[in-house]
Amino acid sequence: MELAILGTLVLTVSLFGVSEIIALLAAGVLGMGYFYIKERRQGHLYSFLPFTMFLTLGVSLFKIETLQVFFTFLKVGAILYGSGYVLFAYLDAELVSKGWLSRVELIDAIAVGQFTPGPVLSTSTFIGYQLSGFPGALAATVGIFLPSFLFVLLLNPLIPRMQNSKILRYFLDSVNVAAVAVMLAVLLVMAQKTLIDWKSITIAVIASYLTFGTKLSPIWNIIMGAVLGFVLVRFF
Amino acid sequence: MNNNKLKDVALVFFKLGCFAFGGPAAHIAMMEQEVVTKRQWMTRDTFLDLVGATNLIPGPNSTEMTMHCGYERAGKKGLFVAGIAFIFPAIFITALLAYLYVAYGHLPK
Repeated sequence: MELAILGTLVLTVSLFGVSEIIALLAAGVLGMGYFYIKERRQGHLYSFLPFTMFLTLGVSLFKIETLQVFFTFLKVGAILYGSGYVLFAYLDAELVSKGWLSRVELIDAIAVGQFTPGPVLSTSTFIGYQLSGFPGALAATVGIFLPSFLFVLLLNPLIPRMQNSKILRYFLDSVNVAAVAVMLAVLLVMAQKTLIDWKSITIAVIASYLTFGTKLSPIWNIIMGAVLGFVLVRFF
Repeated sequence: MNNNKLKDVALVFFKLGCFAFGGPAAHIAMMEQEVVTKRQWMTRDTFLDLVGATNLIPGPNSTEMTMHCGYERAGKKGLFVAGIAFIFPAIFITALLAYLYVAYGHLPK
């Protein structure tokens, strides 16, 4: 199965630290080319470039105003790729190196984004508030999420077209496999970092059983993990 | 009828937003359970196509997946309703913590 080989390849390069978007695109192009040649059918080749948008905004740095907060986070939201784990690097470059925020404050802010539910991008709310109060929090939040809404609005109508075109179907199939492989790579890296004692291994074993052995909703699985984690750490 | 769909979308993603701990991969697993297995708003293949496509564009993948699902279910309004419902709980809690952080100078232990 060619797609399995492709997935394994993506998994391997992801573990070696190749940026996920490069792995995804390479997989898409490789898969598209391969299946296209394999089919040897006549068809039109569309080149597909992912929609990347770089906003270059002249933000003057003398005084941090709500509008500047908005544009800074708009920029981060527009160029942030992948899972949000790279958010730290972006914000470090945008905020810490400009002296708007200390690194300790940034680490605290990311921690808050991680232990609240939902996307880690809620970090932006926290930083926005620190920079200029509630208007800042609002500006940062709207700024960082606005590009996502626009991207999805533009992308979604294109998907049925991708599904119907034979050649883009190959591209999409390959990207899908690559996306799963990237998640698997994250799983492996996170497992290596978190499965360090019997407590976390116990939780992982129970959670795996609940995922694969029962029909329990993942929501309950995660709540179980949180409660069990609390109990184990508190009493042992 | 459309209003009911929008309400459904809002409820599902608000619920996910409240319990979505554990990073994007976990969010997507929960979403798949809700949207594909339980409610059958779309086929698993379509869902996977959306996951693949979402990985190609910038921005947080799990949040963008909620928007895709909302769009598929209830059109453009669904897109905004789903996205906002999903991020609202996180934003609300974070804003509260930010207020406490600035007031007390450190994270509550």
